Amino acid sequence: MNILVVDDFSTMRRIVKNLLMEIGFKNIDEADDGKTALPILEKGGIDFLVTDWNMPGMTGLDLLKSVRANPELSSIPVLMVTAEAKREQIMEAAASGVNGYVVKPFTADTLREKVDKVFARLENS
Amino acid sequence: MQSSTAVEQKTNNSELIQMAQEYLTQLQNGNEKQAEMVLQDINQLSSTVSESIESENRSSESDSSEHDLYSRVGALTRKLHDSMSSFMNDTRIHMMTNEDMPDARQRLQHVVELTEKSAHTTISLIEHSNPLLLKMQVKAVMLQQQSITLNKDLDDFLQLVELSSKDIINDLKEIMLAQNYQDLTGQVIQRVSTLVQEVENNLLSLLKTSNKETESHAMQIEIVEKKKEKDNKGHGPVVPGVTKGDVLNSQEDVDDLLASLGF
Repeated sequence: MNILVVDDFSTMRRIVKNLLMEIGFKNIDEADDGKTALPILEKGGIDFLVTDWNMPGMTGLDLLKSVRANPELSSIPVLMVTAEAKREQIMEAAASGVNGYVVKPFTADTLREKVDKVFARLENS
Repeated sequence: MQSSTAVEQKTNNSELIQMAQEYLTQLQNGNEKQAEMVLQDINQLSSTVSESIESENRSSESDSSEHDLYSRVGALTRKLHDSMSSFMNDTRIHMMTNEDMPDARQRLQHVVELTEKSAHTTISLIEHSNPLLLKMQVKAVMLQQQSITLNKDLDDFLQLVELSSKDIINDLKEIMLAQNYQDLTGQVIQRVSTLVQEVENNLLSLLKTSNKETESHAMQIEIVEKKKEKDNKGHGPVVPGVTKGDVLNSQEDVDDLLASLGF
């Protein structure tokens, strides 16, 4: 399974990448905002998108909307890992088709649990 | 029915307000000469109106307040002009705008870079130590399983290695996660830095209106793009006492909200 981790902070990308590897994922690509992530996604082969919200260039929310609007990409599960914690924002992310939402700072267990939940829900649907 | 004097006063009144607005527009656009001319017109109209009110309606109480209004508008406009002039000539404002603020932004950027470097160093060390500990742990388990020739001390030691390396691996994971401070503090710092830049740009635009010395700096300023919708852009991490609105404080709250939305 190929995963794309999108965050403008390289330290956070590295942390998330390490945790995902510990969970068992091996092929993990990185991008530093929505603008650089979109061409990677459009090239094909990405099975799971983990993205931050607040990024320069193109935000994670706009990336999510672009993914959902593209028939080629619309079925990719998206997990948002962000410090954005306003009720309206979380509701907007949900309305835009996010599959899971993790608030920073998070624990390794929380990330694992949310990733598992995203895939469990996909299997049941 | 309104008297002809009252109608005339009302016309003068709106003319005066229009002129005051024109004065501000000219100032904002950096047309100091035109602003001066408008100010002179305001003063002229203000005193003309005051005189005519005084001569025509000395006895009336309402006219006295009308006279008072014109005097106040005139005084306020002069005061605004004086304040603007002293602001433009305040060297502290110039220094703050041209040196201190860019300096502050650089310092903040430096903090972000330093913390980023430190966090990466820490994670690199963890990534280096982890496989070493894993090897130790696996080897200790293997040796314990082949414990035919081992004495008790050695067996205890292998057990210690196995359990300790497991604990240390867990601790290292927590240390790695703790490096998220770099992202969270970095986001806050970047927001403060953007705010400082906006204030700096606005001050420079203001100074440009009458001071030629700052013109070269001001020419370099790009107009700050209007902020996109705040929620769409993101607010960054919650800052106690600063973040306003309905903020969820924990992952549990987020889960509850999502659950209520059918997740």
